[in-house]
Amino acid sequence: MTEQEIRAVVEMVLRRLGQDSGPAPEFPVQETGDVIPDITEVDLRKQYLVESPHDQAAFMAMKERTPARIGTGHAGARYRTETMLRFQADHAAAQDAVFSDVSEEFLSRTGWPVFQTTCRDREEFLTRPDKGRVFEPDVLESIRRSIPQGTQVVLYASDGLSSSAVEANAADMIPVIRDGLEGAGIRVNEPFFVRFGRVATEDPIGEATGADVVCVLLGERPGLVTAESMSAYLAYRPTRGMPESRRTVLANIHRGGTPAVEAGAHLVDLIRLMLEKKASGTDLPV
Amino acid sequence: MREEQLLSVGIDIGTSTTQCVFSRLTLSNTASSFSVPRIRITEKTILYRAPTRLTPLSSPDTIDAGTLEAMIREDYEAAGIVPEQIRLGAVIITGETARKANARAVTEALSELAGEFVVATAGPALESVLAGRGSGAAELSEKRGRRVLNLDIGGGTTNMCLFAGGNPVCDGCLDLGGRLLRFEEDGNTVLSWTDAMALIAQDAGIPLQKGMRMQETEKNALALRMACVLEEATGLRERTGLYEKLIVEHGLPEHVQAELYTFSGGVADCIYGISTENHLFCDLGEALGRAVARSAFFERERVVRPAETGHATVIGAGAYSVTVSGSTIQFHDMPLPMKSLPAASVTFAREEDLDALAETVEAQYRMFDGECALAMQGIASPNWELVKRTAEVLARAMKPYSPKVIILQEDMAKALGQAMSRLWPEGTPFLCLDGIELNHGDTVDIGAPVSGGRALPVIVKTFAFSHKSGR
Repeated sequence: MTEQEIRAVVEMVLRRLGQDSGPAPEFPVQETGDVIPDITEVDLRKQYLVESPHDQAAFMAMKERTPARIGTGHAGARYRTETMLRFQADHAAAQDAVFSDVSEEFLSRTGWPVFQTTCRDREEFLTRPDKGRVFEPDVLESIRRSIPQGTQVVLYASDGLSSSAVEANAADMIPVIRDGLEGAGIRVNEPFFVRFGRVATEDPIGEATGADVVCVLLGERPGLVTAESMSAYLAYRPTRGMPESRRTVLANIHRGGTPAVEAGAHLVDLIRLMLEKKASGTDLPV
Repeated sequence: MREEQLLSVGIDIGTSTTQCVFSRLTLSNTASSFSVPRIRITEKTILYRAPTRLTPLSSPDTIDAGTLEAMIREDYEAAGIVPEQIRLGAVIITGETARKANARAVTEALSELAGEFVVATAGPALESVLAGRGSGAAELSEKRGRRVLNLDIGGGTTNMCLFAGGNPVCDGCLDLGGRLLRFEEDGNTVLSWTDAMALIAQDAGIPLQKGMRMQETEKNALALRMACVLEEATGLRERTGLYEKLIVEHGLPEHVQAELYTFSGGVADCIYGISTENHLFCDLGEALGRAVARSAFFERERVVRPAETGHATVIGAGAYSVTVSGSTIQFHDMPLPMKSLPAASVTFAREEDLDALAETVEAQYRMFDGECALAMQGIASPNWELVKRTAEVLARAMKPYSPKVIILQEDMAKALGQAMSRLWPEGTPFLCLDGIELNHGDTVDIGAPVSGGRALPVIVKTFAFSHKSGR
């Protein structure tokens, strides 16, 4: 069947349906002025939808230990409406996190200078990973010039695959790291932001600035549990083409995982260890 | 990170017997290698159980410290372990023995002998919790999702603790045990009895006289009355005046609702019919065990035999008394281990609490003469501004005092600790932990760092725990 034929069949079916069902039913809309409840605000670990359970307490104890959507009950052979809607809502949040940019409002509030990789737009960023790892020479030069000579640690944030993660955590985490490092007499840069950036942006930045440690805070590819999980990737004197095993990663930074400030404090010690051992990734004895 | 193994010792000096058990605790990082580490005790293995011996007394009111010490030294030798190998553990003095004149001195001396971070403990509430953890009742409550009440029936006292989801909910203690009444070696001639036994005998209408030969029926009548008191204590029977008189410190709440019961302690072996040597003790234990086995507890199949019976308390003391702090913590230049630091409760769970924080901290330091750990709940996922403000308030308030110890429940110790350290002269001794829940009046012992300095072992000695479940 060609596409045209399919289209003809679908149109015919739709016409028939329209004839049989008469005029479209009207749904009454209540004008209460209230906003409908936000279903994503329900804590899934506390929600239990099984009707007449054998042992609800035991099930709740189990739910405490997993973010999996268990204990949702069913309607016939399918999910209940509530479960279905929540799943779609969480999926939409994950997609939004990937497809939206870090807001101008956030960037102006933090005052972080913005540098862009060679990607022209988000579309290209998502389809061309290679372009999200490099900068045009003039951009790299601006980054280099913005960082004072003798800076030991270069710290920046990048959108990666979740803009929401960066907005939720980076602004809280960066000052913890900076205060901690400066308190230990380690020279660290004023933070900046890389738009359309991937982890390996560390490598050209490391080469251009000659910093000992480069650390990027980057949004993780979102899942259905949270769209706000951020990772820190660190490398000791990163270079282009180096093996990925030279990177140290600290993942799962979000409200329900490691809190941003605690993760920041942990990174302070981790960076000090890297400077002392002159290593990162699997080379770093932890 | 690889696993780390620690040797631990538990010593229980009970009314009838003294026990010593060596265990191996395995610590490992349970977080994925791409996350902040999370150090937990992942395995507990019993290495050696020393033979159970009668607790030596030099007079009815005094523990024979010399003999006891020699016994424990023998246990170490038999196990092939020297005290220097022991990283942690607890000596617990329980039941009737805890009331002897030299109880405290003996436990403290033994804890010194037993290893560097072996702490001396006592108290019916703690004993009840440790017995329930050691027996496996706590774990059972978690695995089965049921409320499990453990009754640890020893020689002098019965320690009861209700667990839900692995955590203690409430506890109680009674002057009731197998050795309240002792016989001569023939097993029938009355040798001695305690005040509690006199009350029970009076209530049961059985006269007690030194040297009298006691009939089996009389023994059974006494044991039956005692089993009834246990039913009264646990809500299976209406409470009587005798029950009230036998309470030590406090009993269980009236409407305690357990779904499963477990028995531990020396008498438990008689209940489950495990041991055949109980007549060697020449006391009422065997009769009591038989009476409990026929009591209301055993109706409707709600009694479960726990993993440990006779050794529950000593295993509790050796393997279950210690917890591990959170793994993002801050400490330096602290002399560790620190023993028996009282917990001073400081309200700090919300931003609003900051206003009164300095005042509370000073009041607590004054109350404890400067010798205390500040216990706070802390704030989950705080922002950096708030942490910095908190650090400023605390750093100023704590400056004149020493030791400087903060113990938080929420995961924020490293951020707070780093911020505070910067506000004091470099090298100021300071310790900031999290992941530990404390109640006012608890005492904490903090051990030397484990897992490459990432976490600290902590022994919380609870004297009364709050009636709430959950961590």
